[in-house]
Amino acid sequence: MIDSFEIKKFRLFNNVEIKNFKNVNLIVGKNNAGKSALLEALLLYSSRFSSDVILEILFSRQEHWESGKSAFNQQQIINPLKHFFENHKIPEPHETGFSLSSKKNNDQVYVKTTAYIVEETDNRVVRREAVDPLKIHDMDEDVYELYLVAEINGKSSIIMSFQDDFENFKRRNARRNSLVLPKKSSIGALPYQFVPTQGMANAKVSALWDSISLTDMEKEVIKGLQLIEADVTGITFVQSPNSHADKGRIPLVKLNGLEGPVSLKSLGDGMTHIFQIVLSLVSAKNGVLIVDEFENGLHWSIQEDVWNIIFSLASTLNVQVFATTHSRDCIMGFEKVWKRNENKGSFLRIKKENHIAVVNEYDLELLSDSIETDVEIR
Amino acid sequence: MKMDMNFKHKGSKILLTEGKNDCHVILSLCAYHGIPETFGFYDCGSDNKILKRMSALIAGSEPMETIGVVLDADNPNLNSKWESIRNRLTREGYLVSKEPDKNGTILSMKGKPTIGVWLMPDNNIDGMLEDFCRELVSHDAIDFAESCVQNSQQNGFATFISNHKSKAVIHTYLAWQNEPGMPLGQAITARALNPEKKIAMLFIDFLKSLF
Repeated sequence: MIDSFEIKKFRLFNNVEIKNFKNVNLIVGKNNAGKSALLEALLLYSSRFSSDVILEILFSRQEHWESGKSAFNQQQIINPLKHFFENHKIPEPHETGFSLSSKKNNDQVYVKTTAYIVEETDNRVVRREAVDPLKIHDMDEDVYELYLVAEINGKSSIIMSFQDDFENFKRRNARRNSLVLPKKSSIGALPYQFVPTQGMANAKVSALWDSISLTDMEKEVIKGLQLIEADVTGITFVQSPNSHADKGRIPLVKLNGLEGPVSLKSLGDGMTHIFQIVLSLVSAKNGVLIVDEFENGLHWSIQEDVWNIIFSLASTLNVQVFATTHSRDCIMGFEKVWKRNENKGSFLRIKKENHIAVVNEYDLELLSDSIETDVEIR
Repeated sequence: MKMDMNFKHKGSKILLTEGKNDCHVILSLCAYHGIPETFGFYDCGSDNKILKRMSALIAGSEPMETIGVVLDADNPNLNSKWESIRNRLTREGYLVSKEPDKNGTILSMKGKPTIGVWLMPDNNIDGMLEDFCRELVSHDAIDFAESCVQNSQQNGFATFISNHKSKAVIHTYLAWQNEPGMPLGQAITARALNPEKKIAMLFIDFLKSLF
């Protein structure tokens, strides 16, 4: 479990420390205060900066559009990864990069620029030797190559070369080419699932379903759906005759009293959302579940019940849950369930002060007091 | 102060009180001393709710400039009340002294709302709003009212609980003023309670420095 979390020089976080994360963590804050940036930081950290996550984030933020090389200087390409850094600027080798760490877990992911001299030896082994950043200015630009490097607990692994085209990076990732992260940088990486605001892609959902179908986890997902529609008895995925194969299959549910199945989507957005949340949760065993805008499509009256399932499954399956919300009903439901699971929840608000994100952590008593006295917490 | 008689002011400068009576007394004092309307009242309903709301406002998402709290030094006493305030403020990152300031405590912290605490009656002894009001009456008159109350107790006419003796005394005194039986705030406006007594001046100075 990520027990504490520190973010330095990542997006709008200059230096933020979250002292206490627990099993189930709810995050609030105004628009553009940094909620999504925090979720991204957690995803990058948990996945050890996996290229999957990098691309998912850049695409969901539509920050991939300006990829390409500058024609003038090979070393100064326009790289979408710059957006991860404070002030949208990739640091020079002598400058500090960003770090995502957990003091309590004694674990750090530090991302920076490093210059390497690359040599190919006779037996075609490529050797890279890091250059002292202070000596770089005296060197000819052709001699070294700049790389974006992730240092995980002191061990460096290359994310990408700045001479490389971002398009190549995307293509390589698509081919699952392990050369993207040549060393085994995934040591300590946690299983993760991410439910974005706009929901998950059909193909992803059906693939997750396949991995848990006919296991005990299937029952848990059905229980989740029953919070909204008590008559649900089963789920299956079918290939829609009218859709392309790459769009994925469609979930159908069986309802008590109805002869044939109906599409899950026909039962409302809340149904799809709860399905994706619970399915992702049971698929993130011993890992991390991240949900952006937890309350999406969920009626206020069932929020407490949904949190109940989340707290209980998170505990049984050892999944750490991070969710954001804008909804007071969602927070109120969360607080009720947190009260019954005292050491298992945490609540925090992110706000922007002078363009920098700061964090305000609530303990249970403070959250209860705020709700009881009707003081705004969002 | 903002004249909202529901005393549920929402704004960045606020005075939290235990009840409507406190609001009326403070409102009358402010009117008499010409305190500008820069803050509003929020009647929290009880001491415990003041403490909860204070913490919630400090941590809350609406930016607050100044939060004043006026609490009775009872339930059971000044020390315990100060301890609960101190605990809560410490948790919110304030540096709080072991004892309240006799002139009313004011705490400023960078990036946080300024906090003011007044413990009724005088930040020094145990008591409540009525003990504060008692100080706005001449000693002779209040002593006489007190002996009336004792007399009624001895004759078996009194039913109030012992904690409420100062309420009984002040309202006994107010029973003979013109006009009889005025509520506390109104009694200040009518000068049956003297708003220029030392304790009132101290309280007004506290409000002036706070807001």
